Amino acid sequence: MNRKPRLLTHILLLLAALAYLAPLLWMIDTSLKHEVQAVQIPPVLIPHPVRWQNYVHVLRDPQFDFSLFARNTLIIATLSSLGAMLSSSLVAYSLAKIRWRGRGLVFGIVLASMMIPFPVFMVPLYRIFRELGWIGTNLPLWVPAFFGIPFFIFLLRQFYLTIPRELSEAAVMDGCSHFGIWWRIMIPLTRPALLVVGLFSFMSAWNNFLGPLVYLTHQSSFTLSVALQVYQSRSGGTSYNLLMAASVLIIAPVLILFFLAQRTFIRGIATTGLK
Amino acid sequence: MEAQDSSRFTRFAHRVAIALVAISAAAMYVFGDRPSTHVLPDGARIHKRIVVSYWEEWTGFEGRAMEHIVNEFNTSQHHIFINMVEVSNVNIKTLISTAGGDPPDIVTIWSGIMGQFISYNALTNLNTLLRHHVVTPHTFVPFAWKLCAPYGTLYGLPATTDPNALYWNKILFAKAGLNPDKPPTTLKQLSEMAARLTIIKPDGTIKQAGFLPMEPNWYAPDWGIYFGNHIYNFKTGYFNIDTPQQIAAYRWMQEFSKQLGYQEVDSFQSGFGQFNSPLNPFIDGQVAMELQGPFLANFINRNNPKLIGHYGVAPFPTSFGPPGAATFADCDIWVIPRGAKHVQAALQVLKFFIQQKNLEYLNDKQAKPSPLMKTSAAYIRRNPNPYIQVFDRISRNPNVQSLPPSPIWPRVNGQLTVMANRIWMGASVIDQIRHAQFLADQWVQRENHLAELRLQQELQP
Amino acid sequence: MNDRITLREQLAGMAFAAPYLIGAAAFLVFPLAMSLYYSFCNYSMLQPPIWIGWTNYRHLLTDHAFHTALWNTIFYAAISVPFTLALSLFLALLLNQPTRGQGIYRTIVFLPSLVPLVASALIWQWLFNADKGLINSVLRPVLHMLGKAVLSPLAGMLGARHATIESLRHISPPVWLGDPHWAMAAIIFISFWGVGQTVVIFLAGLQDVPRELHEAAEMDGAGAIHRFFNITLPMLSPVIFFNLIMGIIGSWQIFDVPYVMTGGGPGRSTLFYSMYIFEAAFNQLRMGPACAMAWIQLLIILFLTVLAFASARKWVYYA
Repeated sequence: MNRKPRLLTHILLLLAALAYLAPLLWMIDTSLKHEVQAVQIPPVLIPHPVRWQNYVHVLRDPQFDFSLFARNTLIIATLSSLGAMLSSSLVAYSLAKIRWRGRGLVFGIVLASMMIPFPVFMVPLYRIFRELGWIGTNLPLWVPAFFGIPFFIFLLRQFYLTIPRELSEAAVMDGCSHFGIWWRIMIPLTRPALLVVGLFSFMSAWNNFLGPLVYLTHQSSFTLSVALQVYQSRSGGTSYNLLMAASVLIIAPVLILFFLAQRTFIRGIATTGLK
Repeated sequence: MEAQDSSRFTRFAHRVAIALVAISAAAMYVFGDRPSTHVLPDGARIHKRIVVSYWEEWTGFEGRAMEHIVNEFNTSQHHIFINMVEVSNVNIKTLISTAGGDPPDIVTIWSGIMGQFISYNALTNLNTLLRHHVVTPHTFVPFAWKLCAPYGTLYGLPATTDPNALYWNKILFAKAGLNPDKPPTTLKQLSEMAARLTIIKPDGTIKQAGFLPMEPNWYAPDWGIYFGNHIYNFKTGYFNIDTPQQIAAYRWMQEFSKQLGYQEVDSFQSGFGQFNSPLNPFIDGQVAMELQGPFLANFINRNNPKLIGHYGVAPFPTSFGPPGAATFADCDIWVIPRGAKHVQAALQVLKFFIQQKNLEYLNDKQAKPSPLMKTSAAYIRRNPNPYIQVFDRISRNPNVQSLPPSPIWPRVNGQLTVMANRIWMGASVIDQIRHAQFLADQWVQRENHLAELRLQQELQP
Repeated sequence: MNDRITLREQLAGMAFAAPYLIGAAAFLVFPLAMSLYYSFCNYSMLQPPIWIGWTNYRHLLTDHAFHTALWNTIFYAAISVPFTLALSLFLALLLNQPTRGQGIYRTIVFLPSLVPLVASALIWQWLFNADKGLINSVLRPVLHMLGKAVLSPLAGMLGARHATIESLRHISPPVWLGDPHWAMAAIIFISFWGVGQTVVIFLAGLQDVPRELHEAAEMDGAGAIHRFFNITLPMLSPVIFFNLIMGIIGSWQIFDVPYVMTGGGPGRSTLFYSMYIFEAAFNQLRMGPACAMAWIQLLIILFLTVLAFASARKWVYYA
């Protein structure tokens, strides 16, 4: 593509950028306004005065303990991420690098299970967790991650397949066990893909709403997404400027994580599509 | 493989940033404010007490009223500690957590789901309170008692009552040339006055509405009451939705939307502020008349004291008799879900809650009439609601209607709300009502069928 | 020699796959079977399940709310999937052009897909507020001006009735979340905001199209459009296929945004399939019908996926 992009392209890009950025900017804008100014018509573009107190109000609200919810979400997301990375790479290695009977069937199950919608599992899982006594704890939200997540198993398997067999065969010659190969060769070689898995499972757990909605019964164990919905639906209602402030607080960690790990994110999404 | 300085710096900056985030996360974890649940009001820790978990949906000053009672209990003895938690969507949460085997010990639920909970056997039976004469069927006002013991067995205790009445803004009445001390006494009068109290701006949008039946929209299924309809047949378990009274009621209701235009009204309504704020549509004078419960008086006291003394409350007019010939009241109920871990302690707590001084304190702070039959004159005098007597009379009225203890009331209520919504948006009243009746009948039939099947299974060896 | 290795390999393979094998048994196969069983039962979770045969499924045939939820979801999926695919592709093409600030543009388009859906729902609920929201605050004066200055006189010139002319003078923007038709439109619109991930996948796919193909075609005199349809699209077809499958599976499960933003209203116009399952299971404790609906959902998705795979032979080219 040596031709310089036309003016039309520039205009379209600007429009797209505006359309995609405007809602986020408006969220921040509203979050800094006083309740009365937030609902003024015509809408005020620049809040004056800038009400940083909105954020203090949200953070100090005795019934919306942001640091507690952030902590809960962080714990669940981190554990999910670790579990996903660990288990998915183990299983992917088995499916890609070891020849054993039943391998194809298991891979088929992995693929098929990606298409099963969550509601099918919702009720039985609830029953299972109830019998285990896990309802009311955060265990249902991260323990399953340690048993492999089909999408990431699939992703890592594809990655493992690209690693030349000679490497592992050489190690076998040297008397290395499968575990040794996996730990000492595969893991370092697939670090970028592993990071992608870790990042994506973290994000997915952080943003998860239906899971915490169903399994977390005690407010003190809520995650940020459920807490935000609760904040919105409190009896008596919550005004929009505070709701926007709370939204900013919840989105901020995700955006920070994105900027820190930008390249991994993009690469991750790119590799998922190619097959 | 770029060995340039700039990218090395970027990598370094990235590492620093990650380290900072990790450290702050760890710090937040270690030093973060832990919810001080097991601490007495004066900060002293509790030792070796039974902890009763109590879920409550009231927020703000209503919640604080309950907190006061809870604190009193906690400081007055060393046996039990009540851990009160504010929970939104408490009805659904209670259902889910009871089904999940992890319910709270005490929870305040909406009367509308009592039937559902009882039919699922999800509540702990409170008959022991009757046996030990802690309460009798005459302790509470009749409608509240019927909600707590719809089939004879006691399953809950009334906490606060919520009778409905007509609020009107005397200032707006005067401005419109109406006698501010004479509220409408018939529904026809109400419609006429509403028309005079409606102000439309030159650009066609609404500035002030006389009366909006869908503001608030949680009474939407109840309009038939004021036309003489009784929604539930207790003996058969079926609903009376497709009746002449209901059709008349919803035609009347639809008139308001037609007169003002649904689009204009919806636009108008979407600009209303939060219920408990100075921007509440009645409180800030955007709506002149409203059907509401006693708590609105409380919110007026706190959000717009200028309105005090300039608004009136009277029983809502009916189509077939004087105002008050048909009334509606709701109730919040304390229950102990099945599977609660500390039933005995919870019973002790409930005994404390329903003492006259505590119930009156709670209802006083929420500007509601007390659910007890016995009410002290002092309570009536002290109550922040200037119209407490109106509400009190409604709640003791023998023909006051309340929500049906049907196991499928939440579903029917949902359908009635959808029906009311669609009628409000201009759909055919008769079609919508017939449809709702059809669905309600279908559901009752199916519930009965399933109950039969359950019974058969249980009888089999 | 070979046999022994195979046994060792077999055990190693199973050992490494053990987490998934155990997990799949516990969290996949067993729950699937349970869910199927419950779909033939009357079960509230507070009492033991009771077998009632096909009753739940039969009742669903005449359940109006179920039909509404099903239709809403079909409608949403049928519109959202193709349009978001087209939009993502279009954006990817734009973002693939070497422009200044390309990285920033890409970041901006990608960011909204990272936002937790609950927060998205609140942001858009505020934007779509009929009276005070930003969208209508902009639309209102624009529509009024359009109506007064353009449409109304135009109608007058064309000889329309007085009522029509008058109503055109007072055009106002829709009440969005208060209007059953526009609420669905709003939700579809929001799905356009979250296309970031799909765009990035397309971008990666575009970059995989060998430049030599384009250059060769250019030298043969092929125009941009011709090149797009005959080179880019075919080379992209596996990626399009992947995104299509993901789109089908994802759109059928939409839950967070409508749950938080509209709760299914107004008048059930935004009640989606997964929401209705959730309502039946956890608002009404009707686990039997909930599981029946979930299995129907599974079969629908399976059916659509099989259709997609079958059609793939015709239009997906693997390099």
